[in-house]
Amino acid sequence: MTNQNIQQLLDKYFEGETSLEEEAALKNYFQGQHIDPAFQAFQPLFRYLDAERQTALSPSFDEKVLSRIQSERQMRVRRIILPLARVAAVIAIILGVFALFPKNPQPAQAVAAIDWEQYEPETDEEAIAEATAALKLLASKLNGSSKTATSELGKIEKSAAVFK
Amino acid sequence: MRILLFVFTAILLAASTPAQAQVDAISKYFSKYVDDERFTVVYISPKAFQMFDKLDIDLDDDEANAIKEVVKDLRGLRILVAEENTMALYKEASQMINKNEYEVLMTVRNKGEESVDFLIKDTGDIIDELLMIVGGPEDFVLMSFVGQIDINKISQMAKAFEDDEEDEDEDKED
Repeated sequence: MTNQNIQQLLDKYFEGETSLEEEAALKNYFQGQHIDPAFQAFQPLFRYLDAERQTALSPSFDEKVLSRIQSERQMRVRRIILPLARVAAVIAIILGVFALFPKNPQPAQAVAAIDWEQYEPETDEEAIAEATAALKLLASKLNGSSKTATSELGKIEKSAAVFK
Repeated sequence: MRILLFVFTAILLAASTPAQAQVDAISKYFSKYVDDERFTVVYISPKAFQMFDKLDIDLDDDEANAIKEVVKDLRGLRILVAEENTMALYKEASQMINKNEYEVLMTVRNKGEESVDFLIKDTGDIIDELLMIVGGPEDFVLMSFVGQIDINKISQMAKAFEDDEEDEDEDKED
């Protein structure tokens, strides 16, 4: 091909009027070893197009796509969890505020506030003596009452049965 | 959505669970007596009950054993004693107890002299609390035994003392 031919083809090419055969001829020329320095500048264009055509899917293509899809799915899960976490956090904060600042009048709580420790006898011996005395009193009252129960009225059957 | 439902259910459950743990009758109904100067208050802690095995009790073997058996099950003992206004206090006390919560084991009235109420709070066969209210001419006594009380052991203990009382009566007669 003469340089003039090439020039004509190139002109047509850039006008967009080349036929498929003419484009193939051009490509063929730029694929070759002997390119006129005047057209050297156009070489990468045609080589690039050809190189692009040869690119194929790499063997790991499927894997890559699948892993992308997978990560997208995780993202979607995150997209669901995040707002829920926000809701939960707000609820937790509200509950926390209620726990920190309970309603001021709280008679029910005051009941539980008895400090029983201060009524404990000072030594274990005393405590045991007190407990023993209490159990003795309990026993004697039980006996006294079971006697009266049986002797006077025979009151509740349950207690009579238990304490005979 | 399922997670949201779960979170809400969990919160509702947590909110609706009654925060009240096991509360004995004295803490629940008679806290004002505890602060009252006229009352003698005694509290025996679970720790003290654990000491029972290590110490000798000045009692007959039968009685000591019976007491030890009962003590094994006890987790606490609270006693309130008053020496004035006793009958009024007894009336007030027996009215204050919620009869849905406490079952009357027995009540004894001794012709205007002394009244004794035994109340229990139980779950199944186990008695969680045994409450004794005594209203006599000289004393008002409120005793609350908490633990996992076996009524049979209590009755055995009562019996051990009863036998003893009878022995003493016989001794006197002799």
